[in-house]
Amino acid sequence: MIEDVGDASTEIPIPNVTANVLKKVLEWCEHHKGDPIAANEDDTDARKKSTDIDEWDQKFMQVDQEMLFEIILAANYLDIKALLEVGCKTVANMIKGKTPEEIRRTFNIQNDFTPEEEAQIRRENEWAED
Amino acid sequence: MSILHLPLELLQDIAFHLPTQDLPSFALTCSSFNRSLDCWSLWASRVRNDYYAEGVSYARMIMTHYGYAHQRNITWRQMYIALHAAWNTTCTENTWRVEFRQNLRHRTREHAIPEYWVRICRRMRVPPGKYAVGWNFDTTEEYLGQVIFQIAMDDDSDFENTHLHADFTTDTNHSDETAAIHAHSDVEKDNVHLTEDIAVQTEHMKSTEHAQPMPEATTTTRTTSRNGVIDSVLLCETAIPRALVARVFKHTTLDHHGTEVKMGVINIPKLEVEGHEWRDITISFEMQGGWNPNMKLNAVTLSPIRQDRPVDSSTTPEIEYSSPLFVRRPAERCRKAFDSLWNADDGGVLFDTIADTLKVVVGN
Repeated sequence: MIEDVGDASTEIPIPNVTANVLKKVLEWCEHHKGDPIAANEDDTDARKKSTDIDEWDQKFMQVDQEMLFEIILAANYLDIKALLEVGCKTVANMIKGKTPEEIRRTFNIQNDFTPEEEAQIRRENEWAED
Repeated sequence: MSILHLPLELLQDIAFHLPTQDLPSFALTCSSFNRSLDCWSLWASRVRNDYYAEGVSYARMIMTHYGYAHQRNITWRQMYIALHAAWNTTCTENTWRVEFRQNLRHRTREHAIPEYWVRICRRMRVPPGKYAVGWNFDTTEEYLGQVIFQIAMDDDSDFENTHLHADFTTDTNHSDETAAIHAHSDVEKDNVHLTEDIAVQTEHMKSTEHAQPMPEATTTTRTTSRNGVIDSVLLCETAIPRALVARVFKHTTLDHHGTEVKMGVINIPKLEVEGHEWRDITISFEMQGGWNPNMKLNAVTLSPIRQDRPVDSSTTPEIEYSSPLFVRRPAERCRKAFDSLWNADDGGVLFDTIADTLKVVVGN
């Protein structure tokens, strides 16, 4: 982002990130400042397959859902890939092994499918039931 | 702020981290989640992760080279489901397992571009004794490819006093032209480890009641044995539009109905272990050929032979032993999804024919 702006004296607007969220993001960056950068695409792919999160990050992500999604949005906006990944893994872990209804309850989501749509999607996903 | 405030690409990022078996629940949660799964890179990566290079190779071939994605509106999501159906068929007692291979090890004709390579196999438990082994298939003049047929005992023991021959007959377009090739060898237990690369070459072609002589056909039969496995290889190539390369491994008989193959006789020895009278064998086919294979495997037969009678499977009482490829109920559902992608022509041929027509007959 700084490279995009070019001039180091220019203000970088981050209107989508609140102070509380930015504080959390900076805390995360401070802790991970010495981490090696992912080398290549294969590494990225391998990381994506995993939902393992290190202990510090797990504790870091023990926040309410609103903060969690704010962090994810901020990481995306600020292009902090590793933080975005931790956020997405955290959400994925909240989804894993749950039924659709359990997922809806977890995230307070309404089922917006019509019965026909739901039946159609169920048919399309029968493959996974064996 | 809730999860639904996340843009679609971030929902996709979350989906990337979910195990595949959780994706259906994810899809059923709400329309936004379901929409996020219409993401080619998600499913392409699943194909690669779950089915390795074979899946990618196969899927890419279909999706790009043949333009099926465009023609049939096949998505990677559907492709994954199709692959899942094929791969998930396990090699249980009554099923054929389908596998794909990435590398075409047995490419034998430079001008032939193998477009697929499928291997199917199944295990059977049979009583010891002598069996005439055969299989038959139909093919058409467009077919260009090879079939490798193999029988092996699961415990790597050998067939005793096995009488090997490869007897291959082919009819051309229902004419009276017949190319009959016969090769024969006996392999005894004591020397099976030493008979590597014994080659018998036969050039033989017979034409009957037809004005045009058949182009020359070359048949090579090679019997090899290594580590207790007897391989009988029959190669048959003709210069006519239908060029057929058949390889027959292990003890075989090759006949043609279109093409029928009588492979010979195997002798499955009795184990001297109480409670283990029946032996496990694995029968496998590897088929390799053009995209439109026009190749239909009809049946594999193991016909018991009484010691005092010649081999004659037609008079040997047989019972149907096996069943179609996808027999498990969940897999059957998978197959419906699969068929919806691959029904009818072209790509459907391979799987439909395997699934619907393969059976194993074994005598009692």
